[in-house]
Amino acid sequence: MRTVAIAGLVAAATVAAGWGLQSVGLPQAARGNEAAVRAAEWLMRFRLTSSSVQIGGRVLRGRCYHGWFDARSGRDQRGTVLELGNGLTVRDVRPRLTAAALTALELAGCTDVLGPRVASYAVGNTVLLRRTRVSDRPALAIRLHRLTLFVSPRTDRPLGVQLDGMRSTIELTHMTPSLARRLETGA
Amino acid sequence: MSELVLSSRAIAVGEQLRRRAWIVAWWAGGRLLVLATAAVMHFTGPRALAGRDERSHLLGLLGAWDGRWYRIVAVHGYLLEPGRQSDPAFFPLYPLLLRAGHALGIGYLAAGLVISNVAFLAALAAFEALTRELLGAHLARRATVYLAVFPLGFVFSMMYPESLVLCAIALTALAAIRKRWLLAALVAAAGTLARPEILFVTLPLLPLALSERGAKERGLAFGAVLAPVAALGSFALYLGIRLGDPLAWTHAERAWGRRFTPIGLVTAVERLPKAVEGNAWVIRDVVFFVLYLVLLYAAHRMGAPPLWVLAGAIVVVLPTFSGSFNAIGRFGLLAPAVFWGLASLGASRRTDTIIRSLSAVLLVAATVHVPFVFP
Repeated sequence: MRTVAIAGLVAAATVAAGWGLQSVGLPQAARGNEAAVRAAEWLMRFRLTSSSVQIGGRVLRGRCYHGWFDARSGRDQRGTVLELGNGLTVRDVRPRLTAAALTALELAGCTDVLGPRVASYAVGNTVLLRRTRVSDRPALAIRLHRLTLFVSPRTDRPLGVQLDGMRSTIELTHMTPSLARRLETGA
Repeated sequence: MSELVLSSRAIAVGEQLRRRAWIVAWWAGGRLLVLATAAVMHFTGPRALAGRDERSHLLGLLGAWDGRWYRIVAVHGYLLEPGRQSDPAFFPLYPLLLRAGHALGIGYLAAGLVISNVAFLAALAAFEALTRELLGAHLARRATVYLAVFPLGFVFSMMYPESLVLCAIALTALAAIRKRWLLAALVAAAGTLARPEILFVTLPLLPLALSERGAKERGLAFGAVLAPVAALGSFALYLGIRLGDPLAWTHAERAWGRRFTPIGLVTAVERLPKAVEGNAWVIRDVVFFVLYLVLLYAAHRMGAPPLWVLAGAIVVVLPTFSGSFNAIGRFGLLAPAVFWGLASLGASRRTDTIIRSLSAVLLVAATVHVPFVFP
C-alpha cells in the first residue's frame, strides 16, 4: 500500500510540475491568432459564399463556389468560380491565377482561397486584432498583412474583407445538392 | 582534513575527465563536420529550397525542417489548426529551453544550436557510462565513437530535441542502475516532455524497480517508471486547458499523415510506392529502418540486455504503425541498442576503421542533403 502511495505521489508531482512548467514557461497564442484560426475553420467548412462590394458608389454582388467544374478540355476540374453580378466570371483553376483574379477571389470571401491563406498566416505570425463595425454591427478586424478579415466578435465567423482599399461583406452559405449541380454545370 | 578530502575529490574528478577526453574529441570532430558542412552549404547550397530564416544565418540550415515549428512554439505558443499541420505535434521542453536561451539575450536559432550540441556532448558521456556499465569498456568506446559520427547524427546538431532525449534516456537508466530513483523520475519526465520515445526506456527499468525490497524504495522506483506517462499527462493537461483538446498533439500529427492503427505497418508498406513518388527521400528512412532492425538483431546476438533490444525495436517499429516510414531514420537515433549492435559488428580493427570512415563521409553527405529535402 505504501509502495502504491509513494509511486502515485511521484506521478502526481510529475503531472503538477510538468503542467506548471508549461503554464509558466510557454506563451499563450495571441487572441488575434486564435480568432484567425477559428475564422479559417469557418471558411473551410463552407463551399459557397455570397458577397457584395462597393465600387464607385455601385454595389457589385458576387457568388463564389468551390468544387468540380466542366473544363474547356471536357474533363472535370477542381477549383473555385466567382460569378459577379455584372456578368463577369473569375475562375481559380490552379496553378494559373493572376494577382487581380486572386484579389477578386479573396475580396469575395471564396472559402478555398481565403481559408488556407488565413490559416497559413495564423501560424508563425503575430496577428493583430482590433474592434470595429461592419454593416453597423460590432465586429473584430483581423489584420493579415495587406488583407483585413472582419469577423463576428462572439463566434469569429467571417463577415467581410478589406483589400487594396476595397471593402466587401460576405455571407457563408450552406450548399444544397441542387444548387451544387447547377453551379457545377454552369447552368 | 576537509581540504584534503576536497583536493583528493578534485583529483579524482580531474582523472575521470582526463580519461573521458576522447569523448570530447570525437564529439568535437563529429560536430565540426556537421557545422562546417552547414556553413559551406550556406554559401553554395540551393537558395530556392531554403526559407528566409534559414538563409539569413551562417548555420541557418541547422534550424530548418521541424526547427521552424519548435521556434514557432517558443515565440507564439501552441495553436491547433484542425485538419492542417500545426505546432501541438511538437513537444514543449525544447521550446521552453529555446525561450530560456532567448531570455539570456541570444537568438532562437543560436540558442537551439547551443542547446542541441552541448546536450549531445552530455548524451555521449552518459551513453558511454551506461554502455560501460552494461556491456564493458571496449564496446562502450566503440559504440560512443560510432554514435558521435553516425550518418544521421547531423540531427543532434539541428534545432531538434533528439540530443536532449538521448541524454535523458541514458541518464535515466544510469540513475536507475545506481538506485537514484527520484533523479531517474525527474530526468525521465523531462525527457518525455521533449519526445515521447523515452516512455519505452522504462521497459528495461522494470526489473530494477521490481528488485527493490523496501516499500519506500519500491514506491520511488515505480514512481520513476510511471514518470514518463505522468509527464505525458501533464502535456495533455496543458493542451486541454489551453486549446480545449488534451489530444491535440495526436490530432495535429494526423495532418502529417500519421494515424496509428493496428495494421499501420501494412498500410505503410502498401503506401510506400506512392510515398516514394511524392518524396523519394523516404527511401532513406526505409533503408535505415532495415539497418536498425539488423543492428538490433546484432545487439541481441552479442548479448545486449533483451529489454533494451525490445525497447529499441519498439522505438524503431512503432512509428511505422502510423502508416508511414517518414522520419524513422531520425527516431531510431534514440535506441541505444542500435549503436551497441553496430559496435558489436566493429570488433575487428578493419571493420572498425571502415565503419568510422564511412560514417564520417555519410555524415557530411547527410548534412549536405538537408536543404534539398522538405520533410
